[in-house]
Amino acid sequence: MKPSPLARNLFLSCFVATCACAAPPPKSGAVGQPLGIKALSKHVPEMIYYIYDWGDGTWTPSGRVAGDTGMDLEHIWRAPGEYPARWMAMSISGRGSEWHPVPVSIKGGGLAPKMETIPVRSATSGQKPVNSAHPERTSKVMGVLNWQSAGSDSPLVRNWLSLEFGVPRAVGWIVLTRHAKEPFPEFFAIEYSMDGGKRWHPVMNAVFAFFPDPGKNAVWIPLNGVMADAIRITTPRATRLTSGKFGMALGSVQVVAAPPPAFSSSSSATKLGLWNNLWLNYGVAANEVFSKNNPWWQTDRPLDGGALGIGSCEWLFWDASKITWMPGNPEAETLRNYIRNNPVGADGYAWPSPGSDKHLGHSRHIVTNAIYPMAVAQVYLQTRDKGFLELKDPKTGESVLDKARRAMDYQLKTLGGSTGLLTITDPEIDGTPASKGNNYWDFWLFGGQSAYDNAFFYESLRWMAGLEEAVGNETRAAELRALRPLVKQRFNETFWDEAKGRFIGWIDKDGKRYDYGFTFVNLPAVAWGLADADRGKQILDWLDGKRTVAGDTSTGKDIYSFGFAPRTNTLDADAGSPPMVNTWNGALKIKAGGNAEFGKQIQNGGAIFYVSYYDLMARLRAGGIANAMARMDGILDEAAKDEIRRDPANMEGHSDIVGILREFPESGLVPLFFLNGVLGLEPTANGLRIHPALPPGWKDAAVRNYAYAGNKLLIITATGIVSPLVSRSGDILTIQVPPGGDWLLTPDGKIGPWKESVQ
Amino acid sequence: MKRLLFASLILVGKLFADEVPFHWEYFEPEVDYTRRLRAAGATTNWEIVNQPTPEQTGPSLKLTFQFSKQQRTGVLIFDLPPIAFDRISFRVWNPNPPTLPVYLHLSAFQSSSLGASRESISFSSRYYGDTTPAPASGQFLRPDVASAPLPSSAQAGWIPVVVKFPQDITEISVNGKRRPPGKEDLESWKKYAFPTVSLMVETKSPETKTEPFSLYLDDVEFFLAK
Repeated sequence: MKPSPLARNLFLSCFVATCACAAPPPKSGAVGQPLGIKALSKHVPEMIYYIYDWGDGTWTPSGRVAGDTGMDLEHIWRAPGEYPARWMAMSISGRGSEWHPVPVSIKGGGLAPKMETIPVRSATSGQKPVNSAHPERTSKVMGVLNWQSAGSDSPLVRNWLSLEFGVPRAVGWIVLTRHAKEPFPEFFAIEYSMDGGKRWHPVMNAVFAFFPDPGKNAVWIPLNGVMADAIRITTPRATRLTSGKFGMALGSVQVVAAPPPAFSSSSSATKLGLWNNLWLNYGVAANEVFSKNNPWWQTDRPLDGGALGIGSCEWLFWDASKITWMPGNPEAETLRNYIRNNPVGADGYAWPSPGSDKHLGHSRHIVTNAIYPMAVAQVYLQTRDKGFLELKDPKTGESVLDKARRAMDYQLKTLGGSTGLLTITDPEIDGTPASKGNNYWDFWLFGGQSAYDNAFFYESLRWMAGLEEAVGNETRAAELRALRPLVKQRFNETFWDEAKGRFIGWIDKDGKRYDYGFTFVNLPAVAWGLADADRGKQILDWLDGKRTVAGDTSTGKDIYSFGFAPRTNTLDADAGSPPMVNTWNGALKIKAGGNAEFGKQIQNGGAIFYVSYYDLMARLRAGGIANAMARMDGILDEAAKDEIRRDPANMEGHSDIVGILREFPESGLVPLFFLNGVLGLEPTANGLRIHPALPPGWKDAAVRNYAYAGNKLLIITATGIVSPLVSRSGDILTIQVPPGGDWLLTPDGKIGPWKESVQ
Repeated sequence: MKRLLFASLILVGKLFADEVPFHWEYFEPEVDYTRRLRAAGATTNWEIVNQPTPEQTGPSLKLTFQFSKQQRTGVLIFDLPPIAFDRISFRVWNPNPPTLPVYLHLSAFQSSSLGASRESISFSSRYYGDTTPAPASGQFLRPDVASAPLPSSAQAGWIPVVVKFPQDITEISVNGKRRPPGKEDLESWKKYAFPTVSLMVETKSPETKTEPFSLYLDDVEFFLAK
């Protein structure tokens, strides 16, 4: 006899409720204060998710993690009392652990935060057989209390219930309860839409299999502020109902609002919604799956997504750019530790990783000597925390500031930067065909005199000068700044190709020049001010297809054929002889039909998303805000399709065509164009520069919860503001500036005009 | 057609009366398979198609292969959230005539970064239709030892394939070294979780490049007995 659906769920609950665990002493907390409970179950090797029963009538499930990985979720209790909290783990194959009791004792005196329910304008249900070409059937739903779908004879029917808000809203939670008579869905996922339900996107951390019966508990599923104009609960496999048919049933569905998102403008709610979701996915990566429950470690296909950062030196400046403006982010401490622990050798060479002076044990990366001081400067100038500069390397006892200074000196002295041009003399990375790759783009044999390294050198002089001035070392700051014009001059003399109208990649030790149309060299060079107006325009004209470089493999519109970023290079790696690439002992094959042929490899005709950040900043500088915003609109159009969650594979089994997910946390730089481009925010020696550039048609732009010098800022620029104003309300410092101006907010909260001479 | 559809539903219903696959690939057009599938070797293309055969009313995966003397294995890789399983079932439609013998089997790969074992291990199942015992040490898995190729669907229709683990494992590769499975390998099967499972489609060594040909795949289901 087949068990009834309720009996089946109760059986599952009983199966996982068997507990031989003695309850530990109660954890203590207070009303309104978050209290965390750690969970760790190693009962199965495959992926699991945790379910927390808080003992107050609510459950919270976690996202999926590897079978040997723990979880630490927080909860806020809303009334004093003794609560029988507990947790269990469920594997994606349906093997549940025991419930582990963690009793909680909550004292009164505090206030729980208010929860706002998002009003639902309409609701729709739908069905589509899974393994069939039959079209979906949808119908309007008049009420979602004790709602159930139409039943079907087969469980192979996808059911969904969608709730439409009419306007984009920041969604904090979706709360589900069990139907009065029918079972709770065993398999379900939460999806959201930003176009009224035309396209649905997954919330990666809200996918559940073999979900146990919650009984009378409300299941609170965190959505962390995803911007949506509709949310739906979808079941890929229907549950057996009391009638014997298969379907989906819910007692109630409530959608709870999140605080407003960080980036706002009255210009276009949809555009800003997509922009904020790019930050949510690739900036803070709040809804992504982390198999190690650690946003600094990549998750593999098919669950790969955005990530917060990578702790190796090559990423530290990008990590700092992403993290330091977010107030109270616990990962700021992790970032500080990575910077503190990153070795700088006795010779001043900044190691690419904590354990080795060679990246992945392969080759030295000279650019780390620019990146390390840039990261240190970014953190200090943003936070003004002197304690950070005094952090001591655990092995050498040297301070972070002193390590940054020695890394800078390595560039100036060992690499010859004081002459205006860095030259790499390490014979392993001399830029010849026998060379190894020496930076992020390690497929290419950059070395010798490298435009990539010299561009970073130029930018690091600016950051380090700002840091030195901020700590009172004005003489040193002046020396570093004084070198910049020479570096810019020599950069242009050395790397500009007059015939092609762009900067080349590098010159090897024998004087041979190599150019493959590197967008990741040219765009940062323009963004950082290395190109004058004419050269900046030539570079943008090349990329926009307004002129063609003879011999290039990709020209015109094809350069942006990926949509979310330009191709890495516009001349095929196979065009030169010998090919100036590292094939990793023949593993990468660049000839047509090979696994690294042009267009099929991130570093050869493929595309990496982070380059778009420098594309946007370059366009702002060389083409103006309208030019930059047109590119951003193209990126947002791509995001509207599929959140740019792309990880295709070539027919050689390699999924290295585009670099967006998994080990590419720098994808999160792209939405930061809102801060650094539109609002023009930049931490400098004397304060926060605010240099807004409102896109055409925009009346205003604002950022909430921007951390600067220990303050939490709301920064607004709007056409109606005629003079700058600073005001405080509670712990928020509000800064209002007119658009088009150039302002400086000092660390102690005073605002005035930005002065060029203090740069 | 209705009778066949009814029969397939009966078959599906029978499966569900016993247990529910916890992971499945039904090749629905709404799912982004570019993030879940990879192809290599003699596999030259894959695509989701509707109605690949007169009897099929839903989507399935069409695989295209082209074998050569140098490349006689077509691979389809399923990227998975690491999962444990003890049975995989699927259906194959082979539109090719018997003159083009095709052999298929599965390989499950465990990455060395997973917690269960720090080694890179793959477990390969016997070829479809092969009932011979595991080859002796030194004799590796290859079509020559399989008892029969995949039948042609002109006679057999959709071909159901069921692979049981560890019973159907005939070869293990540990850090690249291949050997027959040992008793301890088979007894410790449930300690592993797999991030990839590959469908290997092979032919005996052709002298020249074959014309492109296709297979259709559907209803890939993963089971684990509790």
